Amino acid sequence: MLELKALTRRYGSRLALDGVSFSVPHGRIVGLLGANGAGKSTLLRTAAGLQPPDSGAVLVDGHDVWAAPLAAKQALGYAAEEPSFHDELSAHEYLAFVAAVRGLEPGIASARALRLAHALELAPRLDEPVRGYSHGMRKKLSFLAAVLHEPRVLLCDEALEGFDAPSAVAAKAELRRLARGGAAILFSSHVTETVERLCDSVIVLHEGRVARELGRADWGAGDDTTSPLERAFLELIGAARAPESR
Amino acid sequence: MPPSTASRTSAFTALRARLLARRAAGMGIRLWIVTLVLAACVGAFTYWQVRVPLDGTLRKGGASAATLRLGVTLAVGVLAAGVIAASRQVTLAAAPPGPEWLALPVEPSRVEQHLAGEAQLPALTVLVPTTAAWLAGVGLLSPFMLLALAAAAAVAFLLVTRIACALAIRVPPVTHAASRRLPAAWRALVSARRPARTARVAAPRFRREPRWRALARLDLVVSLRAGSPRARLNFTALALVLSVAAWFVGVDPREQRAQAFAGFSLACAMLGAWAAWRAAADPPSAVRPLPLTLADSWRARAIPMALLLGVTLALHATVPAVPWFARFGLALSWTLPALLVPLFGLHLGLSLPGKPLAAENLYYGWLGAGVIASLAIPLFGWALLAAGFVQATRRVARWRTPEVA
Repeated sequence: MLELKALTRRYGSRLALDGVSFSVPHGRIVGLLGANGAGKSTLLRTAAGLQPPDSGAVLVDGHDVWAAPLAAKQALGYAAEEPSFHDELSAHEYLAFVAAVRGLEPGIASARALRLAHALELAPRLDEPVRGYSHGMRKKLSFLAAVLHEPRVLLCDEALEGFDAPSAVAAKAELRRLARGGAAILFSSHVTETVERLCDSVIVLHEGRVARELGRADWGAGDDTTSPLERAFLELIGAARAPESR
Repeated sequence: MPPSTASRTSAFTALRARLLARRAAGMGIRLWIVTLVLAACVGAFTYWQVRVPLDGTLRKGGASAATLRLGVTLAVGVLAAGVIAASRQVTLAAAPPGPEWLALPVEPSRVEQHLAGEAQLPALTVLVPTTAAWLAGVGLLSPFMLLALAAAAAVAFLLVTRIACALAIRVPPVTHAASRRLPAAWRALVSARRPARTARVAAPRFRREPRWRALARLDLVVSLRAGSPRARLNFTALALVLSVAAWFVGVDPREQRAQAFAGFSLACAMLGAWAAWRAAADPPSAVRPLPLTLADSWRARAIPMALLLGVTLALHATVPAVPWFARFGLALSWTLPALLVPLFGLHLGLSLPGKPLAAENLYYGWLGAGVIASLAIPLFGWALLAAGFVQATRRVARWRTPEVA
């Protein structure tokens, strides 16, 4: 479970987060919507332990991110909006490092990294240095590293922006799988269509405050979790790939 | 209506002025004070280094020989400025700062001029020793001659740095046939932001190991692959080998010992620069969400450095040229630089997470001040470095709060 308690954060005189409190229970994908500058990235960076809050607390699985960072981060995954890496490393080397730091069983971590890389269409370039990666590929790698350890709490900051359609579908499937397995996922995005279909509920952030919490019933969402255009695209891709694979 | 040439000129002038003002303000009062103190130290050092021999030349060879000597000194300064500007221009051409210039309706010459202006900035550092050298001539040479030298040096500075920048931007080979016809600035910009050519590397082995050792392994891979840290490690290895080899060259034991110590100190200094860079260069969004502690980050760098220097010290202590009791004393006394300098670099790096360039500059600044202080008053540099070490160590906790740092 992710709990944010009266989180406040200032940038000089500007109040980016103003006493934000909410929680994301296990097994739920909660969307975070807000205009530019509403405080979404600040909230996620603060929750991930990248910047300290001025006041308030972030609890990841009951561990305070700033008081007990190791225990909290062991349970946490974070897919950054603008991911940064050691650009000299290959994606594979970076994932091996992340797996070692997280104490994952090497065989399982390696197999899972490969499986996810295939799903995200990153596998053919897994052994190339990250400096040659496009923006979308860097985002995929950040996502992959964030979910490699099957985190109990996952923070996604515009995580799927820049993904191609098949990879986005695979990533969303992975998010749903993690949620079914009990992960608490906070998913920030500008793309309301993605949030609409992926999330169980939504928190609207406005000028650093929680303006409203909405459930799926509030926006009249059905059971359909892929958009008509996404389906059409995937059918086309599937048809185009079928002759290639023959 | 398209903008006039005059309005573009004023736009670039305003941009340059704003950039300069922001950078000056961004340094902060403390860094300005440190910079001014360092400049004063370098200036004072250069002044005396030039003044004394110039006085000797004046007495032996007369005013014309002294003028020639000062002129050559100033020319060396101007040439050094040209080299700095050219190397900076090469860096800027590879990753030009600012917007996508090619997407803007701006003449190539204007962008080239702007980039050259940016490249000339670091060359201004040469003005400190050059001005000090010129001041050393005051009272020795005639005021008219001094003014003429100053004017010539100023003009030469502008010309040499501008020519160096113009040459540097034309140096990169044209890799694409269609780019050949483009102006130099356009050519540089076209090839600048292309994705780097990448070669596959061997797939790694996933391991179970302590966190600090995983970080140390990552450091090793990054350092062996990246240009800048790799150069520092190579230089360290070379200096360590030379320091041991010094015992087998020459016959005077004192000379051998001095050479070996010089090599060892140089290796320690380069290792400190490597530690400062690596400790500060971990990308925050990739490393911060991981369960790593300050202790992990410290151990990952300190333990490999200690092992490397320990082995070298042991080699020094077993060389046959020194009696056994002297070997023990040697190992003991050399432990000070071996501990102080690399750990100083490491602590500076840890206290400036995400700012490797700042950490390295600060490190070299302290080291330079230490060397100058030791030249002025024997061993005073060590006291200065010890003070820097204490200051950096007190700030190490800032690793936990990168934004505050």
